[in-house]
Amino acid sequence: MERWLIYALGSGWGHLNRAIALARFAPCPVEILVNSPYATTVQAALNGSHVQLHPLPQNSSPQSTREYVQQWLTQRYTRLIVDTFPRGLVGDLVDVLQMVDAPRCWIHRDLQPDYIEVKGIANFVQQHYQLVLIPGETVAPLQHLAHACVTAPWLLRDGAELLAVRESLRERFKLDGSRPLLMVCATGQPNELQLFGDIARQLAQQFPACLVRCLAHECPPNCPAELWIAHWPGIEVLQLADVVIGGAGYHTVYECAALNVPLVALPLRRTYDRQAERAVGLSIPVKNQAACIEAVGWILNQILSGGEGDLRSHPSYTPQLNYSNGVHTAVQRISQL
Amino acid sequence: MQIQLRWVDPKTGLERNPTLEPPVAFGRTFGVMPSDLDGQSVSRMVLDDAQVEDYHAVLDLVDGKLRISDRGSRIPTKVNGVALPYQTVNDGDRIQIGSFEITVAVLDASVQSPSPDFSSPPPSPPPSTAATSSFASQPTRSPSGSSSSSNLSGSSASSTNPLYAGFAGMGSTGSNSVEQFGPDGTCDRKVGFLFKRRCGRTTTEGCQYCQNGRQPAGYDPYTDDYGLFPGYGYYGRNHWGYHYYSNRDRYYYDPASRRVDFTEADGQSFEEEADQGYEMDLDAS
Repeated sequence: MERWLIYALGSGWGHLNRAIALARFAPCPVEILVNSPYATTVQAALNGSHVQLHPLPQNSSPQSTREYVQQWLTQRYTRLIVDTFPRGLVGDLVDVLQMVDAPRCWIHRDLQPDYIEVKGIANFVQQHYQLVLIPGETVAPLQHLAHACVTAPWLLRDGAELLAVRESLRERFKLDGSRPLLMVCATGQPNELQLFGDIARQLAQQFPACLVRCLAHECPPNCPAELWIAHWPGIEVLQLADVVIGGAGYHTVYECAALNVPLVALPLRRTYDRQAERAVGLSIPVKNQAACIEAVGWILNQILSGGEGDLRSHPSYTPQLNYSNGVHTAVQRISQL
Repeated sequence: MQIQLRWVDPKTGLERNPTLEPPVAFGRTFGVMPSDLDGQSVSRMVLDDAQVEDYHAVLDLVDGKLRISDRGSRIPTKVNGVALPYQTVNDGDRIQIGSFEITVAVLDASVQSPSPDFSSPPPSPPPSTAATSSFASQPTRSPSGSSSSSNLSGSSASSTNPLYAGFAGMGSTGSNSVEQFGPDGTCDRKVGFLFKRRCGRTTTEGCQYCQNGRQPAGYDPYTDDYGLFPGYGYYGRNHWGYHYYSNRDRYYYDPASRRVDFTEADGQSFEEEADQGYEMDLDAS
């Protein structure tokens, strides 16, 4: 029986969401290994589907992670898909990949070149993976590998799915569309959330003619409670925004690009991901809160003075969400392995 | 040639039977075993046993026959109970490494592709250099003072990764267009500070020597540094390069050719410094 295993260890939302985006369209049951603190919330939303999340036991150490992952990998699967870290987040896949009989696919999100060099990632991938899928990353360092395939970014919803929930979400969150909506997307490490709480509060003070909301799993510190909304997947509410303010993580950037919503991005420092590189060309990158507020003001001027702004603010306006979702190509390529 | 190895881990009782293509390295530490030998990818089998050396033995194809070479281990490698520095291995033979007994099965001498099965097109090497230019190399000196100059050739560097130009038409197979790569898919450029060596990387990304492929062939980032170290290239006892040279075995020194190739050891040599922060943190992303 067909069964896929996705290794999606890595903190935050990115690995979790990318794996689910792929798994939703898989032709068979999919098990996903995760260590995101948001896994429990998301699993509740996935109940009844063929996608099952398996969070790492709490307080896992690198050593216990190795043992846990290795137990999973010795089970029988028809495909093994490894997100971002071909050797495993803590090198936990190195000794066991060769024991996996199933064809293996590596999902190549952006990575620090230094990590690639120090850990010999290019050689390792060539030795252990039959397919490399690059989900829309323009800066992925190993996109030249012979068995690499670049797809459009992987998104949690197709355009038609978004349009189907557009009005119900507008009603649920009381986002009537009569005023420009500034959506702060508070993602990242817990100690980074306050930055977005501060930005949401300042935006509400500085742009009273706009509606400001802060999309977050929990209300960030300093964020007025009335501005906070929680919803998964975030792309469903981002479609209602006129401007998004967030980090430059994978989903924030590519969801805004797909929705054609301007993103003011504060790239956050990561061990492996180069958010600053990703932000270039797909957002307005800024370095601090002050520059962020300034950039939002500039965009609002453009929106309010241009025809596009008038169009979007019309109550009957429905966007053309005909973007390409790379998960369909990805599922096809993995199935062909 | 495809072979299948079969053994039972004495500690865990788990049976393993990987199907591989030589060369295959055996040892206790994955990172110490070479990832490639003479341009061929090496399958590295980790045998967790105190009697097994970090890099214990290598099973390779020599003149069409399987041969296992012991790496000078404390407890020698045996084939069917016989210990020799190297010996031929046949179908059904038992290799003893530490407390591991590994049975070798030759599956199909005509099959060239390694397992597991590839249903996708095999990786094609990047295009070889069409117009090569001679590679100006730094002379290196042995302890005896003799000087030699490498004849390795490279090609003019070109820009690196083709930037992705929109999502239209995606789903196509990527290709390597970097011209400095040789037919084996690895970089021909000569790099290194103390020991000039062939680069051997599979990507220019993150490479400090060619600076992501932007520098032309012959560019040496250490030109200025050599001016500051007049003893560079001398490895005698009174020179500062002595310890580097005397430890050359750590860098995969080939005593026959006197070539030093620490492409693999590069990462290992600097791993303790440069590796900090990688694969240590479960909360990283």
